[in-house]
Amino acid sequence: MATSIRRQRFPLGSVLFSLSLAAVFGYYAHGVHAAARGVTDWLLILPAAGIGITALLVIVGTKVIDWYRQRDIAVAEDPSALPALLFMGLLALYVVTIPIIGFDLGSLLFLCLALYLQGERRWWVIVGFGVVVSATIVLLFIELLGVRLPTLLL
Amino acid sequence: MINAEAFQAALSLLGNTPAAWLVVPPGLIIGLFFGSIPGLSISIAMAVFLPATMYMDFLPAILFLTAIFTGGGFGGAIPAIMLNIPGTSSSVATAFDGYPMARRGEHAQALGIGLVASVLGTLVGYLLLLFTVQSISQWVLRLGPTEMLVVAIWGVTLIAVLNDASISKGIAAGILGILISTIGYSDAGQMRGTFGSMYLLDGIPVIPALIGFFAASELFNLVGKRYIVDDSSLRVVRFRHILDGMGQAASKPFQLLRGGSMGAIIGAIPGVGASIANLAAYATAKQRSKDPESFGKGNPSGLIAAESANSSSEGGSMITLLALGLPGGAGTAVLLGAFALHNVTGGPRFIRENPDIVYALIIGNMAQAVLLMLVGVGFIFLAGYIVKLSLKLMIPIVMVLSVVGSYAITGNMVGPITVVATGIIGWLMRRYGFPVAATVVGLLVGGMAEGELVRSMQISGGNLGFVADRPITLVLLALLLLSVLPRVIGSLLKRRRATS
Repeated sequence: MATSIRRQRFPLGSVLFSLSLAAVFGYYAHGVHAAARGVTDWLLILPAAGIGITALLVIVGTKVIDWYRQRDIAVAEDPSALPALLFMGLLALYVVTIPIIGFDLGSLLFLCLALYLQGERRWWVIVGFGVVVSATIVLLFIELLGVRLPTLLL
Repeated sequence: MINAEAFQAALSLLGNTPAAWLVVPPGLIIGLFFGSIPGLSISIAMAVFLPATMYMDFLPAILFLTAIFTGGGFGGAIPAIMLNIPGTSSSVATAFDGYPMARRGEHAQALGIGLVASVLGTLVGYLLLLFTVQSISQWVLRLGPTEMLVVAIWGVTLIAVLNDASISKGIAAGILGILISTIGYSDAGQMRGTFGSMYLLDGIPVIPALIGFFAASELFNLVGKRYIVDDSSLRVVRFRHILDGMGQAASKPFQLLRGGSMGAIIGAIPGVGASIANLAAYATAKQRSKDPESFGKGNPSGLIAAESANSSSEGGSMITLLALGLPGGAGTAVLLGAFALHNVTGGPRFIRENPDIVYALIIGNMAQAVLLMLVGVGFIFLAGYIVKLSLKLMIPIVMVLSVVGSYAITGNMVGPITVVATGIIGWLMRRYGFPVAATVVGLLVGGMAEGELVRSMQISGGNLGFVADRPITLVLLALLLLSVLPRVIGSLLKRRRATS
C-alpha cells in the first residue's frame, strides 16, 4: 500500500480513545461503588479501574510529550481506515437487520455488499457468491447442527 | 512420574470415543488452511470454529481445537517459507532461513524440514507434559485462594507486560478485560454494568467476545488487502524433494530436541508463547552453530530450531492451562473458552479429579502430531494454491460464520451484537497499539481473580499480614515481580535514553 510522508500530526485518535476508556472505567467503577451492598461488590473493580485509569493517563501523557518532542520529524502517513470503517458499518447493519429479515436474506445481502465494497463489480460473481455461501452456512447450521436460526426465505 | 491407572483409563477412553478421532483430521486441515493464509491466525481459526464444539463432548471438542492448533503451527510455516510472509507470529523465525531456501529452489525440501520439525517439536512438548503433569497435579493441591489470586494476576500481568506494546497499554488492555468480565450479577447478587438489560444479567458472553476481539478486529484490518501471488513457479512442489527435506530434519535429532525443549519451557510461561519461543530457539541455534554466518541465508538448522520450538510451545502452554487454568496465549485462551463452553474449569481441581481426561488429551495430541505428518505431506502439495486464495472472498465468509456461530452459542442476538461491539473495540485497540490478547486473558481470568480475591479477604478477615504466613504466595509474588521487573526497568531505561 502506498504511503506518503508528512509532519507528525497530533495523535488525536489515540488520545481520545485512551481518555474515553478512562472515562468508561471511571463511570463503571463509580456506578458499582454507588450501588454496592458490601465491599465484595467492588473489591476487584475499584482498584482495577484505578490502576487502569492511571495507566491510560500515562499513555495520554507520553503520547502528547512524544508528539511535542517529535512534531517536526517526518513520518509515514497511516493507511486509510475508510475500508475498515465501511466494513464495520456494513457488519453492524447486517446484525441490526437480522431480527427483521432473518439470517438467510441478511447473510445474502451482507455477502453481496461486502464483495462489492471490496471492489468486485461482476454482478454474477457477487450474486452467485452471496447465494451459495449464505444458503450453505444457514442450512448447515439449521439442518446439520439443529440451531433454530430466524430466517425469512429458507 | 506417570499415573499408570489414569494412563490406562485414558487409553480406553480414547478407544471408546471414536468421535475424538473423527474430528482430528478436519481440525488439522482447518489449522493448516488458516495458518497458511497470511493474516488469518491460528487463534482466528480456533475462535471461528469454537461454536462448532458446542455440539461435541468435551474430549472431542478439545482435541478438535488442539488439532487446529497443531495444524496451524505448521500451516504458518508454509507462507513463511514460500513467500517470506509468516502466516502467524510464531513463524517469524521460520522465514529467516526457510525463504532463502525457497529462493534457491529448495522450497519443497524446506517444507519437508518444517513438517518434520513441527511434528517432532509437538511430540517433545506433549512428552514433557506427560511426564510432568502428575507431579504438577500434586503440587497445585497446595494452592489456596491467595496463591490462585496471585497466579491470576500473574497471568494477566505477563500477557500485559511481555508484548510489543507499551507496558501501560498492556495493563490498560488487561484491566479492560477484567472489568468486562465483572459485568452482570455479582456473587452477592448486585447487577453491575447491565444498563438495565436483562440480556446482560449473565454478563458478556465470553465466546462471542473472544471471536470479536481476535477474529473480527483482525479481519477489519484486512479489508481491501489481497495476498495473491502471480509467480507460478512458487506453486511447483515435488514429492521427492519433500522427502529429502524430511530426511534432512530427521538426521538432526539433537537440534530438534534442543528446539523442542526450549519451545516447551518458554511456551509454559504465560504471555510469552510460541512467538517468543521460535525466536529464542533460532537465536540459540545460531549462537551454538559452527557456521553462524550461514544463518539467514538458508541454513536448514535455523529452520529446524524455529519450527520445532514454535510447535513444542503448544505442549508447554497446555501445562499452564491444565494445571493453573491460565491461558498462555491466544490459542490456549480459546481453549479455555471451550472449557467454559462445556462447564469445565481448568486448574488444580480439574487436573486432580480428571487425570484420565488429562492423559487422554495428551495422548490424543501426540497422536495428532503423528497424523499431521500424513495430512501435512498432502497439504504441502496444495500449499502453493492456498496462499493465493483471495481475502476478498475469505473475509465475508469468516464474518458470516462468526455471526451465525455466536447466535448459536447465545441463542439470541446478544452473541452477534457482542461480536460486532468487541470487534470494533478490538480494531480500535489494534489501531492505537493496545494488545488485544491481554484484554481476552483479562476477560477469561477476571471471574476467577474476583472469586479468589473475595475468598482471600474472607479467610484473612482483610488482614494483609495473612499473606506473610503463606510461603507459596510469597514465592509466587516474588516470581511475578522477577518476571515483570526486567521488562519494566528495560522499558524505563529505553525511554530515558530516548528523551535524553
